[in-house]
Amino acid sequence: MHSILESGFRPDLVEAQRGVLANAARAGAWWTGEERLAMAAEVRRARDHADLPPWEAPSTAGLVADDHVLPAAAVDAVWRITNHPGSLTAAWYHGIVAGLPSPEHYVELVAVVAPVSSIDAFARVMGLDPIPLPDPVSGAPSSRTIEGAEVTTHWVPTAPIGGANVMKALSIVPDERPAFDALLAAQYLPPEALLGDLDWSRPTMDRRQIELVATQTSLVNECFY
Amino acid sequence: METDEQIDPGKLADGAGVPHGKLLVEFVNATVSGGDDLAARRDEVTAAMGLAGLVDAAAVVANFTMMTRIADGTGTPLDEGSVDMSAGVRAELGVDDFTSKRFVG
Repeated sequence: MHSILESGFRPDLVEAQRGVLANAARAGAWWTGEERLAMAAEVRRARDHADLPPWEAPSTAGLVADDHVLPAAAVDAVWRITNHPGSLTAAWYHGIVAGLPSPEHYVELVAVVAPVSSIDAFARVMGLDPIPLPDPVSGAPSSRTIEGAEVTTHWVPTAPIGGANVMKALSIVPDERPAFDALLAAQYLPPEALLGDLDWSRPTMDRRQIELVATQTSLVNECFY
Repeated sequence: METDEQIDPGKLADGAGVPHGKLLVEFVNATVSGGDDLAARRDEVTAAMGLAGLVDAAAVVANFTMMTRIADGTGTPLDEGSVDMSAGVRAELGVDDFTSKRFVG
């Protein structure tokens, strides 16, 4: 087998998926590239233990090494978000954040885990190998903070911006946005279609077919939103 | 988009009247079960929509694998408009009387 990188599929999709891991390899606002790639690796390890029920955490099941580069709470969060997103609760979130340096660290973790879960899902669905993890890029986190960020509508702090709630969810880690936007456009809809062009189509699928697949996928993933 | 072109959520399993809809829904369902079923559904989608169609359908599945984790992982609430828009359907189905898995255990 081979990964999407050798597939010959449309270039914007290949580049967007490659971009997810390139982005994960760089330091973010709160985690180093090494730590972010460790999250990506844990997404894959979690999938290999998908039978671990949501009420059991890898750290208490003896599945996290003592010298892991990530705090145990971070590994627990990666596994739970990867395998059981529909079972997450506010109480669980607060318990995880208590084991991390800050809520911002948690939000950045979600911003790494969700896209990596996405590109690995594509590989699994297509019967491809996952894209190999790159080497980490050295560098320190930027510690960039967002003025006015606070907990309002979500569990997590968000920036004081408008728009759909799901698009605000990661707003306190704006440096993650370019890779996210590229993936969203390549996998789902380009910005002009998101903003209201309901007749936008791909050559292979019209908007109704795209939305049908989107709706059914959210259903089988038990998406609360 | 005209009303008669909208997806009917009550008919989702049958494809909601969308071209290749039933096939696409069965493909998405097979992404959960995996294995031989998924391989068979991939072949069916490819036969009906071409390899590029399969790639685009799989990409949408991948995208909403991501969006689910962002929304559920951050406690993202429904947008006000969505709450109002779905009020009638929720009342008709009695969905508001169910307890979410989020609040059990």
